[in-house]
Amino acid sequence: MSIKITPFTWDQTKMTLNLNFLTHWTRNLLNVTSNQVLSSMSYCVPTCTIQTMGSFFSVTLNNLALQGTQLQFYIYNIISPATLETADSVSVSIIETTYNSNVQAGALSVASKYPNNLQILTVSTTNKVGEQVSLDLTLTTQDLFSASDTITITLSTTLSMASQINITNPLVTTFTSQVQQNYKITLSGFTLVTSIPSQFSGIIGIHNISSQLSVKPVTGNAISFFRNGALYDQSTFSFQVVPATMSNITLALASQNANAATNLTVTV
Amino acid sequence: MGVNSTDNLFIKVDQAITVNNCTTTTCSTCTCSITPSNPSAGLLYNSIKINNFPFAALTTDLSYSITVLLGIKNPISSGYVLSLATTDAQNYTKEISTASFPNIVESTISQEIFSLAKSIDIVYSNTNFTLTLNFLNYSLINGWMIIEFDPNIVLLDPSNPYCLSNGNNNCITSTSNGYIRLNITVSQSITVYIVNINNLRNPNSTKFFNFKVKLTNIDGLVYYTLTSPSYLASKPYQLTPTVNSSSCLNSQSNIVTINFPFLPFTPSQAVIVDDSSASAFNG
Repeated sequence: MSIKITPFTWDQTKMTLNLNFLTHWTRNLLNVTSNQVLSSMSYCVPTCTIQTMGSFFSVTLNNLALQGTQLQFYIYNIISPATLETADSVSVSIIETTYNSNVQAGALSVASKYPNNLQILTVSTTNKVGEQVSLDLTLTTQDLFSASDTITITLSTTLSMASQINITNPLVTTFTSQVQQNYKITLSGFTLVTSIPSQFSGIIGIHNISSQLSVKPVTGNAISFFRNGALYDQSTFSFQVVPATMSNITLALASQNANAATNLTVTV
Repeated sequence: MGVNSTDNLFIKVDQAITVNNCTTTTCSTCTCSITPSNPSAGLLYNSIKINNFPFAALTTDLSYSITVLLGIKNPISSGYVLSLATTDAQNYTKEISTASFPNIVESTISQEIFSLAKSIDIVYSNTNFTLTLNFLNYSLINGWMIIEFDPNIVLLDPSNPYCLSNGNNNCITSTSNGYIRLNITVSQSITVYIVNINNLRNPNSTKFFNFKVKLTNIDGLVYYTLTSPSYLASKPYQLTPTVNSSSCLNSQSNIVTINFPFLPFTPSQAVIVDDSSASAFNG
């Protein structure tokens, strides 16, 4: 007998294990252990017993209802990994109850499928068509921010970007920025005022972005937070400049008489 | 403004200003088109679109000046604002602005459109008037025509006035501070108005009088004003005094007593014309 474990990803709150058995198996117990965190709402389908084991939890299923050689069950409401790292793992073992022996085990790494969205991300600019653009990204991360994290801002490749970045955030005192290929900004080397873990909440200002020819929204921009190279918070955004103002407009009316046919000359 | 050949310039003009035609006088390649207002479809302005500017698209638009000549019919009041905008080929806005439409003044129209016929032409006599107003060369708006009479013309029975406009009762008669005032319904599709008003009394002298006419829209905004030609009751009021003489002998002292009938109005002055062959002995 052997177990084949199909790798899977965390999809918010539901974990699916596909276990393929090479032989028909009747009486058994299935233990699944994970170093994830339980929530008070965690449960299984089919019903399981969930035990907290400190830094991980254990799930036990009795009298497995096999369909052919396959078992499928769900564990709901587990707190997903904080980042998209694959460091988290699940191990599975099958115990033959007759002999109470661990007859087969398998393990796999798990990873979250999606990063968390930034809780708040508003983008504002008051620049007009034809002016260089300054963006204020007002944001709050959903997860805790660390001095060793990296923030990457990728702007639309249609932009010819320039160089000046600033952060308005009481948490951050210093940082370094790098602009690559005129559209990618990397912020790192943060010095924080406190070592107490907290969310990143503030404004990132990006200046000297190339001017726009119209108010057409510029899409294809994203801001991402990485820890140890793994993405944990991300959001896309667009921005839009405001119309420029025409000047030197003159109107000349040949006759000012009410309800009269006349000519209006408009010079723009 | 900054434009290139794929851009558009839009001028939005309030629906109260009729736009009949459009030309661009300083751009030979440019074209100009008009989308009229359509209130039933929610379009409350006329949209003038100018495009085909003579510049290819560049990373930075060239500054360009253009003059557009619009054939319009003025609104009837001031306070309108034109909206201007340039857009790219996908109709994304590039520049915007507004400009105040020049102030409008009331039009004074020719008094030749006005004529008056009186049934009686005698001073201080009962009469009927027929006013004819021919607006053939003017553009009317649905609303009102207000005709104000000279104060020396009196409506004899204000509680029971007789006033018809083109034979209909679309004429409201009122008096205020001694003035007769007519409010007549005006339809933009009718150009001639024949107004009959009866039971009037001519002025108490042959002094000239005229009429003040205003045309308003349905909200009372005046767009045309007119002062009619001057008219008069050309025939004086007839006096038929009785004369008594104390003596009928030639070259004798005589006291002539002239009894005038009661005058229904107070004349400002009276002149007695004597026989030129008679002479007065005592003043």
